[in-house]
Amino acid sequence: MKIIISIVAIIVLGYIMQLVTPWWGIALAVMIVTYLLNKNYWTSFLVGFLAVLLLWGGFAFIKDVSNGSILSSQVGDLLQGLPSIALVLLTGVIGGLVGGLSGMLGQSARELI
Amino acid sequence: MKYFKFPFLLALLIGTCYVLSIPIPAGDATLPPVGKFFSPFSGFWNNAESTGTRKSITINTDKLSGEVEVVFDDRDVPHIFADNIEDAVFVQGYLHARDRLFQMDVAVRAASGQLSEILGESTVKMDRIRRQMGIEYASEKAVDAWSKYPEYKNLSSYSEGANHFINQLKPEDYPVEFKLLGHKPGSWSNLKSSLFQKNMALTLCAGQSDIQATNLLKYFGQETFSELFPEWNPKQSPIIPSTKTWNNTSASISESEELAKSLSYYQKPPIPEHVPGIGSNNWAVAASKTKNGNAILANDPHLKLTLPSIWYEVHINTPEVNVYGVSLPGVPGVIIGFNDNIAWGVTNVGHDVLDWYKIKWLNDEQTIYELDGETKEVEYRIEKIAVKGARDIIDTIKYTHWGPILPDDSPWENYQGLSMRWLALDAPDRDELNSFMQMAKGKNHDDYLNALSNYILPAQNFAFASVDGDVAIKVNGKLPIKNEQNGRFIKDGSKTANGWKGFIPRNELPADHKPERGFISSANQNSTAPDYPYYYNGRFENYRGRIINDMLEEMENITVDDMMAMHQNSVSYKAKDALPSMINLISNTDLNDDQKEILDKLSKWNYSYDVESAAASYFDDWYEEFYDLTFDEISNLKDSMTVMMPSDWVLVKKLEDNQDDRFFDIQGTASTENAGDLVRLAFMKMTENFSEKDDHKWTTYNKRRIEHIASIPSFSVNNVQAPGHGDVINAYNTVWGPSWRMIVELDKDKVNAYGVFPGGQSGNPGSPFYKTGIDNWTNGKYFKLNFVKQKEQLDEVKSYSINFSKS
Repeated sequence: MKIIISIVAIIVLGYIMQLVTPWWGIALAVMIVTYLLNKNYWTSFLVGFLAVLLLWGGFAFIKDVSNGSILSSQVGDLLQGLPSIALVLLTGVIGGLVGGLSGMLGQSARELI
Repeated sequence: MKYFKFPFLLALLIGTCYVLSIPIPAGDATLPPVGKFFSPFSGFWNNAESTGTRKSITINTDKLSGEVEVVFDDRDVPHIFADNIEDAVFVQGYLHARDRLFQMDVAVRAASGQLSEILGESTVKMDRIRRQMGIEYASEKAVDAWSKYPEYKNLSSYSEGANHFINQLKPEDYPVEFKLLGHKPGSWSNLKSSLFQKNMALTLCAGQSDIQATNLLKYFGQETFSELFPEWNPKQSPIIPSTKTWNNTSASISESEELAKSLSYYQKPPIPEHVPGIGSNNWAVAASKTKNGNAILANDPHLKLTLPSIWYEVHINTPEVNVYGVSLPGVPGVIIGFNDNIAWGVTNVGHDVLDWYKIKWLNDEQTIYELDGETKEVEYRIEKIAVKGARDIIDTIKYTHWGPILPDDSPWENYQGLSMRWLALDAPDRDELNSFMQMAKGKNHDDYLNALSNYILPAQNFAFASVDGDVAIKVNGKLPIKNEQNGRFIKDGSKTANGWKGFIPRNELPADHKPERGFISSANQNSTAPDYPYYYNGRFENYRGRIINDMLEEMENITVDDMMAMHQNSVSYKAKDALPSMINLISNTDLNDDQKEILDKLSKWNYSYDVESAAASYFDDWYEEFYDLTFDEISNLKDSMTVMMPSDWVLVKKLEDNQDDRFFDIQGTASTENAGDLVRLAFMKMTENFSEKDDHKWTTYNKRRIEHIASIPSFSVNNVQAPGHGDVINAYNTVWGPSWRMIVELDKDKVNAYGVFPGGQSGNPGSPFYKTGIDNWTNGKYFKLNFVKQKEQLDEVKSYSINFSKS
């Protein structure tokens, strides 16, 4: 339950922060939450990874659907012909990777203090 | 352990973020930073516009004198309803920037020589040439001159409107191309509008072949040169028809030949001979020739087909003006369009307005030169080129009496002896900015002429039709008066007498109003028959004008549908002129079954470059092979000098007149070939070319596309299945073609207009309006243009609106 709440918290906090920070601002949101969550490293990684994957991937997915994949099909062509949905996933994974690392960093900060 | 984990993870995270934040070099290109580009909050996803209806909004600004309402229709065409023109063009500037910012940025950079600032060292050579041509210097002078005329306030208002949009733009909202290039849009200015106009001049009136002609004059001598490059095609159907007979008054070119002999051969010049594929058609039929008794005007300007399209549709409605048409993002007003009373359309005038002069240097440093027996000093201008990822480049450009001295880098060393005289570098001497707005307000032929009197360049053939049922055409612009043969070759630059003799008076420019034949037309052919009192040279089209005039001559009871069909007409007069003779010469040859089939298809061909036609591909290839074999005498010179090639009609005439013409002999063979030998040889080569191909249809042989303005492949459209060829009315060839098709029926009660361009209003590849018109354009269909007098009449097609309100 705590884990789910943490994921939701990252998504909400991340969304708000992303409106004012550069793209890497998402790392701060994850760190704050995993710092408070205080689980082991793998859990922290997964929480950060999943949350940002959902936020970035989900956000990209919503934009892609409302756009009828007009843009993603063209950007996909630019990247070796990736289909739109793969582009959405890739977006989620890139964000997730940063999220996961930030999750672990949040936890290590907790342990340090 | 925990003391190590934190710094390790911190370093790892920072490292990852850093890698995702830097541009990635990939061969010649650079990929954008991954994190920034993929983030759905700041990256390309933010350019994915919703396909739903946009929300109506209100924009507050203190720059307007009244309220402006913009109604967008179902194709996102803005209908601007304003209290005055100044407010309307403010909003036009805003909308151009909203929809076409990257295009505007690139056009200006290309003209002024500032591409390297965003693209790096790969474009330095191109930038330097633009600086050496003095484009930006000329634009500075133009803005200075414009500022003395009343219309300047509207240009300033346009720039302010563009900046109102640009200034509020956040990085996440930059057009996707800026994100890809890692570059940010700068603010707009009146200077940039001038640079945009210079960019059009570079495309439309910078064509020259003086250097190529001088090389060939030296090589062949004047007799052979005149045979290969005659100035008048007897089959030509000029824009202004003449009843007078052609008397050969061609002046001697001995003087030019003498100079040519003293020069060494020149390599390919730093500016292109002519931009290929440039051309256009326009025509108008008077009320007497139409079914409904209304004059009809048609226009299709041929330019490079790009995405976004060069054109932007707009409707401007104020108490003074109600005009609809296409505009160019970068300048205010409507370029091709119509109002409640008149319609106008343009085609390019091929007169040569760029000439070269040989400078007589008086010292080795090339800082002083002789002019009319006196010593003159060159003037200097310093140009600084910013280069992305490298140091700035500083160039010092020299100017003589004639204009700039061009490049000094290899292989152009001997170009340092030449100075360029180009009309587009002159400061404007009339209220040029006002000409299109005056036209927009025009009610009749007199108003049309008044508007044209302010127009300078690039010179255009302006077709006109009005609700009074009359039609007119004028070859219009600033056109130099030249001595016979002046401007065809490099001239001696030590005598001012070799310069232009002023400009053709406006009332003596070739023009026609209420013609007896009931129609006017132009298709880039010669403006007049040779009896026109002023000498002009240049590049003129030889086939499209003939077809158009022949068709219009025959047609009666003309309807809008007839005009639409005519835009699609893909019949080639070149093929009609050449193919029967070519088939004749091949008839007694032994052919295999495949070759017989090809010949059979060619014999049955209707000369139309249709999508599915294989015969069109065969003829095109066969003709090209035949042409190349014939003029090997010229193309063989290409290694040692720059050359130009004879017009197609010259070859076809040789084929008709003398099959033993010496040019039919192939160089380097023991035997003496004639036309028959070449036609047969070319046929064998052609059939061999096709034996390896599965698909012979025309649009596969001639690959056709619409290319993104920065050549980003996935933002382009490939394999466009539309008919046409450069020599036919529907002049679609590879990436050149009809960039806007418009047909206007001038009904007194309600003007009916139809138009289409192969693109959409939006320049954003992520917009549902990026490619709106491509299907209709490909299939020869049009949109009915929503031209109204009151905004309430748009209710049925209204999608959303923007209200500009005074704050």
